[in-house]
Amino acid sequence: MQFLPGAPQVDHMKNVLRLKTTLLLLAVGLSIGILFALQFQAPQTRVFNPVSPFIALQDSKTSLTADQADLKNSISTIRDEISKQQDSLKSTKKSTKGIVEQVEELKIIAGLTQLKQRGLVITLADSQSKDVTIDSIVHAADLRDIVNVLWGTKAQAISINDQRLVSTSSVDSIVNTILVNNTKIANPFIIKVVGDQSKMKQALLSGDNLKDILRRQKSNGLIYNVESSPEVTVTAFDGGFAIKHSKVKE
Amino acid sequence: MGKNSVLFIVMIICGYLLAQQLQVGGRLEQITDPTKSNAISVEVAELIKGNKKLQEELRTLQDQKSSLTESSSSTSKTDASLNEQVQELKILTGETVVTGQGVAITFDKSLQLTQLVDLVNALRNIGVEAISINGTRIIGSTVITETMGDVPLTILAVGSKDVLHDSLLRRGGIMEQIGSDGQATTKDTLEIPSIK
Repeated sequence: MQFLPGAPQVDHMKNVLRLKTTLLLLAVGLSIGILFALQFQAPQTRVFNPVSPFIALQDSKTSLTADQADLKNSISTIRDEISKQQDSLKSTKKSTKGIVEQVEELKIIAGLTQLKQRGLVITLADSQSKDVTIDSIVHAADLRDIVNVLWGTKAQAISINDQRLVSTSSVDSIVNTILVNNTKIANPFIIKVVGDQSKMKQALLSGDNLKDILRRQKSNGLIYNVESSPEVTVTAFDGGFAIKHSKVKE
Repeated sequence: MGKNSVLFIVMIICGYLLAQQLQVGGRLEQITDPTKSNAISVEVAELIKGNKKLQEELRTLQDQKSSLTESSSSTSKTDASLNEQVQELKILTGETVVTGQGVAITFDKSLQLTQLVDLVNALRNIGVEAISINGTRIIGSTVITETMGDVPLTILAVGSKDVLHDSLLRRGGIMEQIGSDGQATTKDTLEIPSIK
């Protein structure tokens, strides 16, 4: 179509421009309407919000973690009180002195007392390089292997991030979380061990035992440090044993 | 204000809403990621299991404390309470022969050291109270060695027989993970030797 110069052509141009603007505003208005509709949908008649169960799970985790800390505190307190009671029994009732001493000895072996002696502090941590691979991070199995090597040197007491290892302890992983004694621990992992320093160092660093960890330390930047210390504090076990099915054979 | 200015403002609002929509979508995707939710679910389950154990321990200790207080005037009661404690500690430290229900696990093929370490660890996580491998008592400080995994291999575990059996053999459980053809049988009475 060809337009001739003059007033009718200008009017036509104006009409086209107005129409274009109207159409553009219509499209923009419609988009905003759709976005608002998506943002503020009417509440569902059934539970449909996928966030609610996740938040509920996180809340449960937070409250259970707090309960765990409270229970552990109460257990530590009551164990101290029992020890004090038994101490006073030793002096007031001579006949029970022997059995109280037996309890005290067994508590040391069971890991119910804190130990402060010469030993090692071992640090195992994820590589600090940006490339995260299966070989550059710490796995629960690494901690289990180190612990097994340490028991092999007749170590007296071991803790991982202040969780004392006892006969019922397990070191587990859940996706990217590590649990010791059902308690979540986080990177870096500090293993404190009381025992023969040179024997333990030899076993940990010689390359005969922990080949995989030593390889990943060299090739993937896994952090693995072993340091001697004149006084290592290995905390007392603050968890529960719950012996329900075992009996001492008479 | 010209038409262009109105359009400009409208477009800014539009852009803001779009960005919001995308951000919320991203966050939702993160939150509803089944791996993340599963991990928290397992953590919660472990916490529930652990807290139950802690509550039981606290009750036992409270009983122990009150019996010591009550029996402060009676020597026989004091001795009985202390003896009970000695017995429990002897079970934990492996200083006595232990009897009780549990499972017997047998393997026809040898297990590697790592498989054996993982199996003992899993038994502890399930709630085992006493373990022996081919007649050797395993306590907290026992080193697991390669030769322990040699056949014939029998592992005895005292604890709740049903919980142990079902947890060991569940899909994706430790027996499946270590991939060795093992058999776990429930037993009403097992006898686990002492460390001596």
